[in-house]
Amino acid sequence: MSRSWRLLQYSSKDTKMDWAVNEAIFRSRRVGLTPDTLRLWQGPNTVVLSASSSYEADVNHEACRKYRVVVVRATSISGDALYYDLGSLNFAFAVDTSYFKYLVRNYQQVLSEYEVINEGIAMGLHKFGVNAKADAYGVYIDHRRISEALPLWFYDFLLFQGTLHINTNLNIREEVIRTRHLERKAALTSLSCELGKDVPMDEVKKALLQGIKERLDANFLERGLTDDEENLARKLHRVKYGLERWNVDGKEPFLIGMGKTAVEVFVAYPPTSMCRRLIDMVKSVTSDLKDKVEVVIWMRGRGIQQHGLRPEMSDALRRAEKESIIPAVIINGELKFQGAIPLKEDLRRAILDAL
Amino acid sequence: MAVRINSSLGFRIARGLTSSWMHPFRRRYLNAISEALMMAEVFYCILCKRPMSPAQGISECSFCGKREEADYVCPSGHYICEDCRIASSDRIIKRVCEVTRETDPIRIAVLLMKHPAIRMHGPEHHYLVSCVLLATLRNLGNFEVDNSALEKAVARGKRIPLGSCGLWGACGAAIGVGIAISVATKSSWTADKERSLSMQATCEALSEIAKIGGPRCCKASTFAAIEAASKFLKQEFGVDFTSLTSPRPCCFKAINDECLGNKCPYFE
Repeated sequence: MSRSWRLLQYSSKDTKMDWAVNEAIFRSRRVGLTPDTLRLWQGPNTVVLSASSSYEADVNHEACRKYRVVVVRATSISGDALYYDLGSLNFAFAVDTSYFKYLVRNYQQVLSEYEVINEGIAMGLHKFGVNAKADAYGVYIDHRRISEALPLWFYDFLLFQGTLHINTNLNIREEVIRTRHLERKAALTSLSCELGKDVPMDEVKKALLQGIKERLDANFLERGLTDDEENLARKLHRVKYGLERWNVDGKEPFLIGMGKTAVEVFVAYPPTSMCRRLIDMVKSVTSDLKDKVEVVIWMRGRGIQQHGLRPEMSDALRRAEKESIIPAVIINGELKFQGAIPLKEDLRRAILDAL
Repeated sequence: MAVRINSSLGFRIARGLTSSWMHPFRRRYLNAISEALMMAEVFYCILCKRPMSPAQGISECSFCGKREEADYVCPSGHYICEDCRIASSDRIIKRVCEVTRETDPIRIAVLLMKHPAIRMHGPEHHYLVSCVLLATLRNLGNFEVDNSALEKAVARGKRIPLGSCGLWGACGAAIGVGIAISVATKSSWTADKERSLSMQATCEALSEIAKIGGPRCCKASTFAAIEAASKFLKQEFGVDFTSLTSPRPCCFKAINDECLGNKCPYFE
């Protein structure tokens, strides 16, 4: 029996908002508010950096200014910088991959998931008469790569976001991205280059959906963004994608679930009297912020699964655990108070500042 | 806002079942159940795993021996004082080794390794071995070991990095044995016999740890280092660890994700 997927065809006027939307639909999928989702969209000239790309080393900013290219950073676990323009078809799969193991013969964690999605894309491209092939690393036409992707994982949930070069101007791409892996640069192509003519985007979308439907056993129902996703995308744009702190320096705030401000309290097990006073104080100062703040009490030595099978934990909390900083209050991934009980006003102010 | 306190069961239910799409009413119902479960605070003793009960009156800390007004005590009488509960790894090791009267290094090591500041695997095991051996030698009356000796052992052990076993070819627990002999005999690089003995002690311990294989297990390495040290101390100094208990079967195997299983000499 095929699985119900949401098909989301939503493009924002603001490129950075487009990437905030991707994270919003992924978070929404993670917490179970929405079903598996495929988003297709198009956007103006953009360089997308992976989480590990260098803003300075990987981008030719002079060329970006010349071609009016926006530079944005995507949350991802791997991948090089990618480029798209209005001739590209961008995609984002936000999916619970736990059923993917039934779609392949020799299942290999992580690689098989990428392979299945790429195969779906390749099957769509076959409808144009091209010899498209796929593996875990991309989609190829005669060994030239036609897709680029930046995957992100959260336990079994995958956000596979990337672009398919349909009528993309790859000459601009060559100028704006300083590719450190020359062999990959040489391997890029677009569908229009292969066919020798421009291809209507609607036909590509139709073919692509058919290919993905067949390979992923998916049944698409077209739906829009939910209100929660829209609100979250706006927040993500405000606190992450719209800021240089993220796009240039790669520093992101730690948000929990559907983008709530996370207040992590690290205490002893069982909590000491000081730890208890701190917990009570945090509860008290956040009592009127229930919709915006998530308080998570972490107890030392109870393991990462003390808050369920898929806990979200900031790097600062891991550091507090490693260095035995007890008690500690971490707000949006930043260690704000440690070793003692802060003043109530200071704690409240720090939380409000983080909203 | 969900304030979550100590109920892994509650969150397993909440997160486990709400991970896929479901009807909002069903979600609300499950969330209500998990919230209710979370309200019940039950703490388990870190030494014997039995549920602790709220207590009144004075109890003695099972780690440092401090007597204070207790909040939670387990049915076996274990209580952990507030200072020990928030202590870092070096602090808890020093606190315990300063006051213990125990003459069995394995018992002290196991007690310390149950403390949450000592992770399953980590560089704190390097100076744990040194301090445990020094405390035992002091308690047996063979060597003069004061608190500054423990300070020295911790300071030296902290310089051995994580993963030195595979990266440097010398496990920190084995070097910890050498540090203990060096501190106990007041050795230095200009010393003669003491310098040789310190290195021989490291060598003996290293040889035993190397036999275990990998990936590394800091618990197994600690046990092997202490057992090798006890043999070495008997042979070279006539120290008799009459009360040395066997660490077998390892009490950490159930919670060690990387346990070597039957391959480990301490598994059964």
